[in-house]
Amino acid sequence: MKLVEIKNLSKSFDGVEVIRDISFDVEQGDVVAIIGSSGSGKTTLLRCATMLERVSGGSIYYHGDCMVETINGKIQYASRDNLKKIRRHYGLVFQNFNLFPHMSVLNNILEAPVKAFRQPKEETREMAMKLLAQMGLEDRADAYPCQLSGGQQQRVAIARALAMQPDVLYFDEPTSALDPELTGEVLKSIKDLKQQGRTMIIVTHEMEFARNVADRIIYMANGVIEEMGTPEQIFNNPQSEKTKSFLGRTLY
Amino acid sequence: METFFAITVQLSKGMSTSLQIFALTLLFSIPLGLFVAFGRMSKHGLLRGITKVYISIMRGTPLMLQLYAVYFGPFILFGLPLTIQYRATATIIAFSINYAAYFAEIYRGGIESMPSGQYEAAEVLGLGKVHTFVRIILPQVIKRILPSITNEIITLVKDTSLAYAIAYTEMFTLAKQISSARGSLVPVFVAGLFYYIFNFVVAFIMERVEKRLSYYEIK
Repeated sequence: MKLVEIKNLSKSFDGVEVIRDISFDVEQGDVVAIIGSSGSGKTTLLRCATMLERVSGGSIYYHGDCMVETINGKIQYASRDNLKKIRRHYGLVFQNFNLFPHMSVLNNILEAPVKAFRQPKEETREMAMKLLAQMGLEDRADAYPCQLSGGQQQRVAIARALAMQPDVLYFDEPTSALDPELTGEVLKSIKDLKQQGRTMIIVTHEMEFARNVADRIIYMANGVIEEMGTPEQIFNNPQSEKTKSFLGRTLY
Repeated sequence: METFFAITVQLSKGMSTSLQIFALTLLFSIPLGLFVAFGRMSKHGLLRGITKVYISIMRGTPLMLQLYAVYFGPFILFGLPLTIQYRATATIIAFSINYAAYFAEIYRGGIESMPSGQYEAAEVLGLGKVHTFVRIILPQVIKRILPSITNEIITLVKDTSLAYAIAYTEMFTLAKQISSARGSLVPVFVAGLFYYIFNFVVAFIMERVEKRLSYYEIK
């Protein structure tokens, strides 16, 4: 079954259309990289898919459950209770981490599952420690975010998102706020997640990374999907002139 | 030296009254201020308007006048008798609603300065609005506004002396009475010394609290 289904999605801010007519599906285990220049609507797309923004049109489904549907121009979101359930299908890793600075690394991870969703503390703690170990941070569980490097903070943010056991994980430019020498460790963690079969949708400016890790590339320009295909198709044999010129500018 | 002790003993009753005004005002105004801040930031236009006017009046008129209004208001409007007991109550009411307005603006500043990313992270993790505010936002706001709160608390210590306006005998009122009886300014200065010591302790405690919260940094 399709994990994520996005149909004819559009979003305007004050009458200015930022994205329009975006449609794509994501299957279990897919890794999709969304590329494109700044202002092309990549982040807006992610924010609509994670309900941080309300859509201006179109439909979104998770596991076949409707999050929002537009029928005859009427936008209809699911009920509060249903949205609550749907929200558990996905996680989001932000560009600037957004860890809770007053909580230790471990408590950042445990806050939602234990304090909000009442999962058993000991088990969840064990799972959190495993996630931290996976991120190479098992010895930093008691540290505070301000004591960590940007790369470490972002890996904690990934662990925090994974602790909610989402089916699909979104990344919004996960390395854009990092010093160049720290991007590698974060990209490696994301690659490891691919090895485990995680479904991921990644907005990124890292072209090499997108090429290596993604099963599918979506190239966005001026708010629409200009071209979509396998990395080979997009990078080696782009069809659209815009894609060609974008890649020409980013791949030297 | 002997006179100093004699004056201190005479002042002690007023001192406990001042302390009472201080403690009760904080007890009521700190939580009340939070509700006022919520009103001020409400989506509801009318509620926002009302709290805005309320804050504007509380900050824009002398506290002494507000004391008069609270104390004499019930008498002027409804002909209720002016009792001595009501002086204490009126003092606490006037101080509490006045300080709540100032605290509300401090809270608002703190809450509005929180980066939206904190709310968004909480939302995507599925935390509810109340949970987000109580566990994520408020602790960081408290750390951020602590220096301004300390300022207000210190001002309050000194403002308690305004209760003399409605003849509620706190420390400074008493000091002036003793001064005129003795024909000396010394009692007033002794009172001043006590205000200073009190504020010294307040500043010390608040500094300790700030240190305790310094285990993390807010971006």
